[in-house]
Amino acid sequence: MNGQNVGQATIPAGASVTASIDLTNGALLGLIMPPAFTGTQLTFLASNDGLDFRDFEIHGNAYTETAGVNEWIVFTDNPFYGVPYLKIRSGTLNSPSVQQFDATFQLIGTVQTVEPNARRTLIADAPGYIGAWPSMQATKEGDTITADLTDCLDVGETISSIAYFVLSVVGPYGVTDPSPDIRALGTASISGGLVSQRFGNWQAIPKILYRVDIQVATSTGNSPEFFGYLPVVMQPS
Amino acid sequence: MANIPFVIQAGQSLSNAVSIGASQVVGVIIDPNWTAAGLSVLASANGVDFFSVQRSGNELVEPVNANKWADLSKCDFSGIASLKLQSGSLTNGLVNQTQTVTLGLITT
Repeated sequence: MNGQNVGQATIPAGASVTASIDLTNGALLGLIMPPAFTGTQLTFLASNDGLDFRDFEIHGNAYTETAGVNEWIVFTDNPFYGVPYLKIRSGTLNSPSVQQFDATFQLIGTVQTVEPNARRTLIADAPGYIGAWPSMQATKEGDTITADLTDCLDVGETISSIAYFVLSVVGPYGVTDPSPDIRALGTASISGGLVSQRFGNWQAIPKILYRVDIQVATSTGNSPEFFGYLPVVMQPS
Repeated sequence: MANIPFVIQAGQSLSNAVSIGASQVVGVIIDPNWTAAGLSVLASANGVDFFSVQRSGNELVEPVNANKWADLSKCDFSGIASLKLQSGSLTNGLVNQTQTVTLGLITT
């Protein structure tokens, strides 16, 4: 199989591990190292569900690649065959190399990266209906959706807390979710005028449409409410 | 993709038997409480009679460590209908697990 550049994965400055790389629809054959990279080694973490990652070992040893800046690294013998989710670490478990700058790897193969915040922000011009987020894959890992409420805030007004950021089923596909509350992974977060919540923990829902309700409290005592729609579908096999 | 649990009870070295059908084995997730030992395999074609898996005349013993994803894609499990996983080996001695452990066999 000939590889092609199919995406990228980044170790942020100050960190040593990438976000999850989704290998469920392909194979990772190699990577191109970033032009700036702290350290000389790469190790890897594998997961079958995208949540619980373990150090990836072959014959009892951590699979390690020696790598330098701007090098094309070939993974001989397709070591990640059958691994659905992968993370790249700079350095080793006991000696991770913290990156001084963002280190972005160009991925060679047939994979897609999981980009938690990509295209998942709705801009709210006013309280009430704010639109529909793009379809989310019904995986355990899920994804993060964001509402940008900046335009709804007065000058100097800030978001002080999130009263709720919740899902409820609206159909229309004839599928019910008896436990929408367990889809929220972690707590909702505030970043300036943005509010975000990660949803996931899906296992066997083929297609479903949720209503997302959000209410925030602001520094001036306002409590605006917003809602949108979130379609969730099974990942195509 | 499946994660098939194999359980080795505390004080024992051999797991339950699990049918893997035509699935292809790609790796195994090792329990955090794994008592240090290599991992060997017993295989069966009928789910009743199990035999130690050999490779090139030697017992297949995969070095593994606790709380890791151990790659098994280089091991040949083709044609095996049912498996048991074993801590230690017949060659070098079986190792009883101190605690009950679950090994997650990853198959496609």
